[in-house]
Amino acid sequence: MRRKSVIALLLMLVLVPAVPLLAWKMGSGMYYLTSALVILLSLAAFLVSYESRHPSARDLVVIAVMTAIGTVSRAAFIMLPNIKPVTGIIMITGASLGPEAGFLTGILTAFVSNFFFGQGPWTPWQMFAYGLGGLIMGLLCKKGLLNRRNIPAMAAAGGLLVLCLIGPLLDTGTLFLASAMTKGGVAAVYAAGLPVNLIHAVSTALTILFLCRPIDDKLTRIKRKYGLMEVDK
Amino acid sequence: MSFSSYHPGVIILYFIPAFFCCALFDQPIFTAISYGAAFACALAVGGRRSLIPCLITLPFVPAYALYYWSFHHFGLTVVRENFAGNSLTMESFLFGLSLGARIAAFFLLILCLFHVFSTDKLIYLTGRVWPRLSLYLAVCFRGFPRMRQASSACFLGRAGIGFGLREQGISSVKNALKVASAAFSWLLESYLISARSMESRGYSLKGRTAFAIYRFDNRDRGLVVLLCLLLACIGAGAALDQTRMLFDPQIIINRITPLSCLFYAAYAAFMLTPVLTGAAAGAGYKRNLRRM
Repeated sequence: MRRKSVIALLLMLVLVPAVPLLAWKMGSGMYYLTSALVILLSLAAFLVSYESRHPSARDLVVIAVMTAIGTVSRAAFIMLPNIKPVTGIIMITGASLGPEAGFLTGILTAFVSNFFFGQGPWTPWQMFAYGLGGLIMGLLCKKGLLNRRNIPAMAAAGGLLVLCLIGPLLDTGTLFLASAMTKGGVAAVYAAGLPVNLIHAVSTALTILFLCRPIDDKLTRIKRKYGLMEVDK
Repeated sequence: MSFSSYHPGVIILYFIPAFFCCALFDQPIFTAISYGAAFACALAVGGRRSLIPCLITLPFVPAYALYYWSFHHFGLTVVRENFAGNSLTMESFLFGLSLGARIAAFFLLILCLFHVFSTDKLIYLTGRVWPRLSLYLAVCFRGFPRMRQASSACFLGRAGIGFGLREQGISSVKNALKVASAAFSWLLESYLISARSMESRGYSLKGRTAFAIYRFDNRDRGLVVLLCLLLACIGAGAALDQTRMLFDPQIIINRITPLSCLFYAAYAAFMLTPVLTGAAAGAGYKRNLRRM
């Protein structure tokens, strides 16, 4: 087994469970630190595993360009609060280029775009949430559960994913950061996040509705021309 | 010569322990040093741009303490009861104050990092450790100006044949979208051609040398030795339980002895490194001017 694969396995099987166990044994309420460490270790395991497959420069630059597009889209709508086309673009990337590329685009888009908007304790949670959006959309398309040519279904799936998973995941990060670990605090954080998540879900669905076909066409053409990533189904 | 002129590795050697110490040390003197030093560092490196974020943290700390006090009711010393009949205790208020100060200090340190650590330093550091990530970041950050140039060229070309943005109504939006589409396709193809060139030049092969503008000189070595000494002193303080305070069910704090003052001084010197290096460089410059 390759050295990097062994490192990735060690990270996932040993360190990731060890961190919450250690925090539980210490008995302190370091929810944010524990959760951020678990997220960063999981991301590190994925990145090490991805690196062990020696991806070519061509695969990397396509993901980097999609990251740049996602960052520009986030910057373009900065004046409209909670309207974020970036999640839609990450999901389209996952659907076109595969779940791994979608996850990588998501985590790196959050990291890179926060260089312009401000890094903070929210960064690991954003990386994880956006990455998960790209990964799940990529998995749904890869397994045949979703056809990326069926744009209304893609838009609906994207909106639901934001409303039910990505939004609550970001709210959980806020919850741990605020240390509001009481019933009232939890209810307040998730209730306050609901209108934000609704707007985010609608903006994601609209982004996929209008941009899925053009971006997918370009990426499919690039994949065929340069022989990149997964073979088109 | 400010703190940002030091080698990127030295800057990371400062910030990573600073973040950990800021988050974990809850003894009030250490917390006060963390907050005060982060405030001073953010102002020193960021200047006027950091003034408003720094001032926002001043009311944030007591506001967070009041918010925490309302939702957490541990501790023995009851100050009063709230409208729901829950006890508002002194221990939970003081813990909220400590936590609020640590969150504010963490945020100010991130602001400091934002100003000190430019994208070129990040690309240089990652290039040493992980060349593919460095390539990725270089494409991302340098893609934005290239995209702008490509978009400008497309705008001019299309405006020349009557498809500019000065058209009325929906036509200008359609023209803008066509330009964005053309710029996106151009960017993808351009980088893929560059990737072929990079592969033929052996990028990311082990042992491949890379051009770098950062050199690790004696000034950096001196600061590394100093930081390691200070961290050793702080580590000794942590090992002797000087950095912790218990709040639940009652406040328990370790005795403050003359040795504790040494740990406080070492921690303050460590956290104020960006300010002290800038001041030392400024003093050295004035001394050299006087000699001339």
